[in-house]
Amino acid sequence: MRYPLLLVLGLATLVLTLASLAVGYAPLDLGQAFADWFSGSDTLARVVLVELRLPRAVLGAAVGFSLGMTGAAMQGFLRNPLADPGVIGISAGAAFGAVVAFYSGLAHVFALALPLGGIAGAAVAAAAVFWLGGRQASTTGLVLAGVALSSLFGALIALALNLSPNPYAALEIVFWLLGSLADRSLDHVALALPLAALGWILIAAAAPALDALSLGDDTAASLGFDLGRLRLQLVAGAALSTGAAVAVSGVIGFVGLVVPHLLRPFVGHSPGRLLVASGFGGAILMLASDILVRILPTAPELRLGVVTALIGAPFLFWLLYRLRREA
Amino acid sequence: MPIETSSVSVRFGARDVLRGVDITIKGGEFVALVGPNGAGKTTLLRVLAGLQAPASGDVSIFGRFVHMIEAGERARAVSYLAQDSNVSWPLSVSSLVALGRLPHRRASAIENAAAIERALAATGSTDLAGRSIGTLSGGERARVLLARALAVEAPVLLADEPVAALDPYHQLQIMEMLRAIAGRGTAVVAVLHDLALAYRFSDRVVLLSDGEKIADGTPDEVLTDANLAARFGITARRGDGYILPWQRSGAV
Repeated sequence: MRYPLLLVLGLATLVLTLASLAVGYAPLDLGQAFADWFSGSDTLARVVLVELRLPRAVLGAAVGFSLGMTGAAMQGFLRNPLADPGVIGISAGAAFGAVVAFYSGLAHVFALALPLGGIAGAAVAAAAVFWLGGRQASTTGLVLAGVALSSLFGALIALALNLSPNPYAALEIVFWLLGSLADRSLDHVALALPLAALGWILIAAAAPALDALSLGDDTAASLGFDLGRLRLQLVAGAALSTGAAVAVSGVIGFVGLVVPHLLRPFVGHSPGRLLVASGFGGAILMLASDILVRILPTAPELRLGVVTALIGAPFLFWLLYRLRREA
Repeated sequence: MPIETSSVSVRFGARDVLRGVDITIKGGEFVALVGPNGAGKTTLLRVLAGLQAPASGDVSIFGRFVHMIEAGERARAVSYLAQDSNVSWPLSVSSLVALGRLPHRRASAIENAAAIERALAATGSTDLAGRSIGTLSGGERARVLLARALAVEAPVLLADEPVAALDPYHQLQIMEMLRAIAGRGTAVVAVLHDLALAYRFSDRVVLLSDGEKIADGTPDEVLTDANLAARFGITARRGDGYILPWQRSGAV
């Protein structure tokens, strides 16, 4: 059961990544572009593929993988199916960091200021959440610290919008926050992918501990797991993966909430086995959404956060409907 | 000795939860830990499991101080069955029991499968293996959670109120299983509120009250009229091989 599922999800991710390369505004002969790329000829097709399409596709997969996997990790750690990657305040911290880059004008000086600001914000949020709800505190303490930080960063973002020098600056920030993968470069990939991948490794290594936690804190500890270390590992993993994701794409909700939910029955409800499956699931949803926004004839292009919310919210209604039918 | 404590004390804030408790558990022995609510039974069990560090005193497992033992090794030596029977996700019975194999990182898949099978068989849960934990009755659930603890195949089993919330049939079933587990050489320590079950099934009873060990010996030596009156505030009726808590005799 386990490996066939990962195989199917992995293949679907690969197919959608290729599909994402094939979709775009500029007409492109994909085969020719690849041929040009490998032969080293500097054609327009190659530029479109390598500079525009490839970063977008790779980031779509990586951001989705990060959000799906972190969502599954948070749900497993907090033993709550309503947890999402933002629950410990990392997303809000990353968003605020990016807003600071916008607001200070740094984002216009050099393009990577935005993701760097996001990553710095995620790091600050992770340090703060760990300091506030740290090693000794309870899980409730950690969540409370996360909610408090999210509110604070939310307030600071609102403040930045309120004080923005002109409506265009505010609009730019709001649009960025809604999430998009348009116009990202290979530099974004080089910045985000290693950090995200480190986060994936930290989270994936927590799989046995998350399984043990199904039986409660004491039983998990009796099975040899150090819960303080696990908390540090997961906060760091979430900060790296979600922080990197938000830094390059903005805040994209619902992926980390909905995907683990959908896939849980297929891994026998095991929180450990859900991690990688949910990563692929997130990548699939993100790539599909990003293909959709480019196919839909809306102008301006729909933002990814809007699309995932439009898909995610009905899912919650469906969940509610199912709960009421079971009751 | 599988497990030994010497003058263990635990303090929560200003309150002494355990004061200078010495106990020694031998292999193959079924020890019942009894005492009124708040006596420190669960805390002592958590200390034995290495889940609670004592403020003073020592705990040793097979002659080595528990804080010197690496967590995985400790987990292989001492299995802990928590009172909380809540399982966060509707896992299948077999994958739940398999969690007991987590401390055995180096064991092969075949060894693990065999241990899981033995644990299911010892608790009469083999037929439940494919079921989801959410579909089990209270008695089935208690057996499966015991199977999870047995799957560790540790020489020490600590169980916190393993028969709480079970009907008499399933209480007897679990007690018989614990008895049989001890019979195979495992040191079993169970916190029990039911004095009749403690009297009938255990080799030894340790009576805690107010954080102190009051008595430690055979059921007849410990569950005396004097101790029941002084520590539990009750009288008991006795017969051939049983006692029955009968009447309140005063405030505790």
